[in-house]
Order: sequence, then structure tokens, then C-alpha cells
Amino acid sequence: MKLQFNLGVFTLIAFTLVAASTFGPSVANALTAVQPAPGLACMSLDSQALQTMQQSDLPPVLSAPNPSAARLGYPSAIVFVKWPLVQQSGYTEMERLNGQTGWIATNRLTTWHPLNGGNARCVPAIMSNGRLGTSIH
Amino acid sequence: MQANSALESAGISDPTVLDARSYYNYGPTAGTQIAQASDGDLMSEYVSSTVLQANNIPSNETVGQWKSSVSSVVGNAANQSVLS
Repeated sequence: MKLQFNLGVFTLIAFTLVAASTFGPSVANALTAVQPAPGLACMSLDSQALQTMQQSDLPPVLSAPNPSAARLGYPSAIVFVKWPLVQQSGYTEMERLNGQTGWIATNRLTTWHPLNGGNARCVPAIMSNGRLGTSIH
Repeated sequence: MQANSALESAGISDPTVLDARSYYNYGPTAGTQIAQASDGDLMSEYVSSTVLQANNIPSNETVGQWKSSVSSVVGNAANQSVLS
């Protein structure tokens, strides 16, 4: 009985610590994930894009799946694609860090892996500043 | 391109001094990503080992620890907007 109680308390404490470190409340100036952002998944820019030091060398984010569409800006290393995937005319629908929907060339995307070679998972999240961001765990 | 323009182009509408520092240190892909990364995440999950070493960042340093180290140098200005 005592062992069961101790295990229960330990499990509760462990869960609380994990939850606080991943989807916990914000503290002053700290940026934390508040909750997962539904309908999105993490992908990565390809290795060529990740190595560039010029933003203008990155594949642009367009307003429509068309090379002549308006350019909304450029992606970050991690691309939040709509999930389930929405692909059209060689482009994949995505969401920018400001929440704006855009399209990026599908052939410039690849599966996301942490750069340290680990097996952590990337979760698109609503952050404590109300914006879109990442939580890796 | 100036850091503030690049950060805005990546969808960061009100970049801070910290965000600009991240852009200059880690480039247009990882540097803009760090701006919206959880403080508890490891820098090494976002930034290549080569770039981390070039910036003298240990592999076990978190995003929050990196931000704190920059803030300790630049003070309260770290969280101020670079647009104002």
C-alpha cells in the first residue's frame, strides 16, 4: 500500500514536471509552449537551404501554389505544414510564424530531425506570447 | 539584409534585440527559428554542431540559457523591439 502510494506520488510529480517543461505556464520573459497548435506538423527545409547564410537564397513562401503568386516572405528552418498534408502543383500548404497561410515548394522540404542527431519530436505550439512556435521533446 | 527585415520576412512581426542577435549568430534559418523556440529546448536541436562550436555554445545549453547569457550582457534592452 505504501509502495503504491509512493509510486503514485512520484508519477504525479514526474508528470507535473514534464508538463511544466513542455506546455507549462509562462514566467517573466520566458517563452514556453502553452498548447499544441492543431492541424500542423513540423517539416525541415532541405540541407542546402539550412546551410545558406543569405535569406534570399531560401525558397520563398508564396500566397498561392503558383510561382508567379505574391511572395509573403521566407521560411525558418522548421516549416509548419498543414496536417494532413495539402499539396498542389508542386507546393505544400504551410503556416508562417505570424499565423499567415502560405505555400512552399514541396521539393525543398524534408522530414524534420533534431540537428544533434537525437530522436526528439518537434511539436508546433501556441507559445506563451500568443504566437506560433516550437516545442521539442 | 538587416536582421529586422529578415526576421519580419520570416513572420516575426516585432523582433527584439535578442531575436536580432540570434539572426546574426545563427543565420536566416536557425536564427529566425530560435526566436519562437521554447526556452527549455536544447540549442543543439536547432543549430548545427559546427555553428554551435563557432559560437562557443556547449551542446547541453538550452535556448533559455542562451537568451539569459545574452541578456546578462545587454541588459533590459534584450527584450526591446528593434523596430522602435
